[in-house]
Amino acid sequence: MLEVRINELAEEFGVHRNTIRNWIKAGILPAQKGPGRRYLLKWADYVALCERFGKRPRRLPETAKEEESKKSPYRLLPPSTPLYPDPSWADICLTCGACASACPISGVDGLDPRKVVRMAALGMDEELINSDWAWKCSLCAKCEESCPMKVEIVQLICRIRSLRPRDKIPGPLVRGITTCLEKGNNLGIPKEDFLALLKYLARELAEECPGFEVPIDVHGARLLVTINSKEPFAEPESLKYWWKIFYAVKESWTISSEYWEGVNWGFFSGNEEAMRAIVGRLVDNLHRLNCEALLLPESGHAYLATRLVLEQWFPEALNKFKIYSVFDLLMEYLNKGLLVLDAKRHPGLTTYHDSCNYGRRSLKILGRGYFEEGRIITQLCCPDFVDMQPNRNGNYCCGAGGGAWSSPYKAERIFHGRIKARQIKETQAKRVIVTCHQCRDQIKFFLNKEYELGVEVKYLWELVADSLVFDPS
Amino acid sequence: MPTVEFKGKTFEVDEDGFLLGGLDAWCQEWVEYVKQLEGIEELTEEHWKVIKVLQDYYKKNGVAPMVRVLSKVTGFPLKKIYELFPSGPGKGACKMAGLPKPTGCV
Repeated sequence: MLEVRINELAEEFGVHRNTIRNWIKAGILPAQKGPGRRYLLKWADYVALCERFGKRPRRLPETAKEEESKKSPYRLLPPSTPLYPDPSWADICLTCGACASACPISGVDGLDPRKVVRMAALGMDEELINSDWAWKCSLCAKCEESCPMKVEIVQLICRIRSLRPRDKIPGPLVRGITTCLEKGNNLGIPKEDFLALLKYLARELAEECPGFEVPIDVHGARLLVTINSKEPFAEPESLKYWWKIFYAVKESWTISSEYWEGVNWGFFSGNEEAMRAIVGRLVDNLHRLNCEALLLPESGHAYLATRLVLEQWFPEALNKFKIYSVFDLLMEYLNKGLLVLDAKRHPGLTTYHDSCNYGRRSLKILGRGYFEEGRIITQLCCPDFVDMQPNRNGNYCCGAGGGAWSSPYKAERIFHGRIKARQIKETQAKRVIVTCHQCRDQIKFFLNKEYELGVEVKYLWELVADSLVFDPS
Repeated sequence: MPTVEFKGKTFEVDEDGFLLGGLDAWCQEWVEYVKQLEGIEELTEEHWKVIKVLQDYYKKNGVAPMVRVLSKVTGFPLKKIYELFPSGPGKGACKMAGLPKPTGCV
């Protein structure tokens, strides 16, 4: 076996990296995917490729021979291991333990990322799939960030999750997905109640914003907006933050009366079919209502899931529609001078929490992480600002990501959050700005209480809405 | 699935301690069990009103109602509902009424 990287092969054969990727995808180049962005290629397949290009093999076959001989002890293990199809991948991990020391739940259930990688390499698939550890992990990717060999540990954990028999997945996740697929939103809110609530809230907001109406199913509106079902269900007031911003900038926007859910739990359980179905509904709404743009869901996981599904399964929608994250939209408003913010309404030291999905994971998976935008916007409203340490790509997770908020492992989730709590405490800030529903609830309701933080926790768009200066004209 | 025993009755519950048997398995003993669990001192007419509204809505729609609907039908502001059920309408009141745990980011 040869261990290759896409960019090395591309350079060797004078083609684009994507060409190599396409060959692998199409099976023209039979390579197996491994951790650390490496691929395993059979010596014979490599030679065949060289022949096709009329090139002399640059690589030496000795490596392949060595790998063959090393393989023997592993033959005692089950012949095909679905987690890691080839034991030579075990060599990539140096077993240094950087991942284990970075992971806030190392030691829970006697496991840590390093053990998980080793177990997978040793073919202990069943133990991993049956263990609850992969579900207590918040998929925060702090382990990957610290790995010197760039082993893709989160991808491995997602794979462990996806191989779990569907009837053994934490019940709340399964029920959430089923309800969403059957009834259009995770909490099964009936359409009639939903529309009545929106109209009621709009009337309340109109007292503050004269003439405000909530635009439902408006054909030709520029921007389609999704809603996290938690908000109409449990915190209807919080829907008004975005509404106030849209009112202030005179946005042309709409909410669909059906399939408005901005939550995608298929991402947590490794259910790609559900992920695709839920995003497909949003794409249908864009077409049906003839919108120009989509505001991606607010919650970190849903933002990432929706963008991933769009890239993978709906590339034509990416071309046709403008896709905004919450950061892109707020920054666009600011750059166009549409938002006037009062920096005096939020006195006191304020800090900013990086959501793992918007930051570290987005950077890794999509090549673009949102780190600075949230800080710029926060500081326009809260000039007295301090960063947590570490921050940005090195930030610690709140503890509630990856479905942990909705899974029954409450004690582990609070334990996970202790580092976040310490980070917040050390800043001495009295206010934390967040961009994800799970981060917000975990810090506001749990870390505040369990670790006596006493901090105010606000969404970024809540901060903007509360700092808005309405144009007197 | 785990079970809990209370006053001679056995209840099957889910991972979060919600009644699995639904409204068929729901009974006075379950209410008393959740009362103790939630640290509610005394059950009043107001608690029963919330339970009744939740169950009626659930029978009709198969899900728990949004907080605004619960407030409107019972006539209790949200603050009052939190006074009655300290862990909130979703976790406390739904559990006592024998409804499943709401399946969103709540």
